[in-house]
Amino acid sequence: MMIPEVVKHFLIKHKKGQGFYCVELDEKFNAKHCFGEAKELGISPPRLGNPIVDFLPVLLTESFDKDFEIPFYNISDNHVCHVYFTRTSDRIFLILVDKSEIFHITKKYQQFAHDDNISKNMFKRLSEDLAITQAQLKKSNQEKATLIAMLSHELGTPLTSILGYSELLMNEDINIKKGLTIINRNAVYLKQMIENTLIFGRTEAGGIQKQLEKVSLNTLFSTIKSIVLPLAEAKSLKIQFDFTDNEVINIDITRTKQILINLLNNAVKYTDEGFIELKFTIKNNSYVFSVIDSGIGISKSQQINIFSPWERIEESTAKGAGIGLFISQKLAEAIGAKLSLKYSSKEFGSIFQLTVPIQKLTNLKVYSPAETKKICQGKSILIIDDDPDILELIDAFLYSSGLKIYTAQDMIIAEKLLKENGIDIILTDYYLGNVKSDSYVKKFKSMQNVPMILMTALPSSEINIQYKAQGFDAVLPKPLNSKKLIQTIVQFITKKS
Amino acid sequence: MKIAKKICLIGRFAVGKTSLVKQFVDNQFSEKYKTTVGVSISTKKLKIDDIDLSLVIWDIAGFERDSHYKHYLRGVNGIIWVLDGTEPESFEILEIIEKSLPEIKQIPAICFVNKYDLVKKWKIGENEMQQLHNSFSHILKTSAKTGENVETGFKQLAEMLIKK
Repeated sequence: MMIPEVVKHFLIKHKKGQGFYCVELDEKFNAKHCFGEAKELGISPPRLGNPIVDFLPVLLTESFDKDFEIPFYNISDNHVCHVYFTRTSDRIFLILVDKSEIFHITKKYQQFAHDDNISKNMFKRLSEDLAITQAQLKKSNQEKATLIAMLSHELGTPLTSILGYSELLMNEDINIKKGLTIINRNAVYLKQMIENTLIFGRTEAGGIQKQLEKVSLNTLFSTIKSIVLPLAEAKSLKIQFDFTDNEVINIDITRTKQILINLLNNAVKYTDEGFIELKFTIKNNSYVFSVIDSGIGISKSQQINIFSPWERIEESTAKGAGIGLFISQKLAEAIGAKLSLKYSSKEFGSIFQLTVPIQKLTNLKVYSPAETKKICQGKSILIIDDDPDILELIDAFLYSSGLKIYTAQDMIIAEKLLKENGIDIILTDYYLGNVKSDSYVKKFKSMQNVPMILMTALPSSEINIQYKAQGFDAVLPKPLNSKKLIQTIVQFITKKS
Repeated sequence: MKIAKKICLIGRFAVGKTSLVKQFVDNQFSEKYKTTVGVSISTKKLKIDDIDLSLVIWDIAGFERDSHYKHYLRGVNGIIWVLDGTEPESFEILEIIEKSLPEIKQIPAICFVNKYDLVKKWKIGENEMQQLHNSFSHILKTSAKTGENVETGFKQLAEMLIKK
């Protein structure tokens, strides 16, 4: 069939030398005649008399009231055409003009440009992330430099008193009780500073791990009192511990104690007259510890940053590095608790609150000293640590357990002891001089299939997984808790038996 | 009752428009990025209440020029704006297109913030989300990769079109 003149003109205008396919439609938009090769465009020709929508479903939503075009209509992966709908006074046409060639060229360049753009964006994002990390590192370095500067000053002050008064005592130039009281007070302060600094390092490394233990309120508060009371008495402050029942609670004793001591130390520091109170209540399934003081309070502007490192109350001349509250909050986060400033004013002082969600007491059996002795009788332990003082300390911890104790300061001695003796359990430090104990796990286990417990100063969930993957059976945090150490050993020995 | 509705996906290049359609129509996903030139059209049949709905989905190549959309948006019934949560720049298209085609605001629309599977790498803040809430009644965090919210999103728009 001859191509109508009107279509010829249209193709001259739009086709530009490429293939085409044309369908003439009747007034009801059914296919009437076809022109061109449908195959060249990768399509099947329409059935004459059928609606054009059957041929090209894309037209399903078209109203056909005006001429229109659909540029670069993707028929398939290989065939692309411009679709034109046009009508003259008495004829209607749907014309498909092949644009596959230009499509493929365009696609190639567009793909290249987009890939390039995506790579650039990715690079930009990486650069931004790098800049953020650099800024964090810079801030962290600055904080560490500030900490060192602070510590040089803060540690120097109590040390001067300790050295000075011990010299006076040695020369018998001062009343013994007075001298020892001053030395003790400064030593307690020094201990607190060192502990805070160590925890600061751990929070920076993200290495705090929650350890739940049972403790009675009496025991917990007595320990805290023994540390805080001398400081409060030195300033003639009344200190009160308020709890109704001597309940046994399940908490991370070390961290909770550390937080409460930090809060109470601050309370003493910033209170010149009046009282300090530590109150315990249970509310909304949480243990609530409130530290209340009648001190100088914290201004509204300072309350915003009170938990940031290096923040100290401007109005006070009290000493301290300004990391106590920052550390306390990090510790609270690590044990799943919340530390907040509930109230503060110049007139009435401050209330800090530590809220610890109650966790069920674990069902792990706790062995009495008599049971421990019975289980451990005739069993032996090999303790490996390059520090003779630590070996002696652990020996003392396990003295009454009934265990036969072998100690080694290095892996060569440890290996020899393991060859020559029947060992039931091994307790080892991670770093032994230049040697790491993980390189000996496989060897020792192949010699005697013994459980190996690792002692480390920086346990965290991630690090524990790593150590366990290396073959260690348990990880205990340093400083060692004697009760926990014995319970862990007993559990392994019971399991082995 | 049988009806057909035309919906268009609009968004910057590489935000995942083609992948969203592929996921919705064929339940497939490919990690490889393949640029779209022009328009790729698919149809999907849905049954909503007693209505047999044919969704004619126009996956339009991602450009940020209004002239590009003129031919494709003719007679459109609904729009899916596709943004990329990992690329804040992809949000700029809203302002660019709406400024040059103000009539587009009258068309029922829904917004997909895509690549939810990479939510840890999302770079959008509260401001961007607030801006979206000012413009859209329906915003979905989608993942063409996992299929999360993809079908839900298309169906929500379909229901909007039927109720209109």
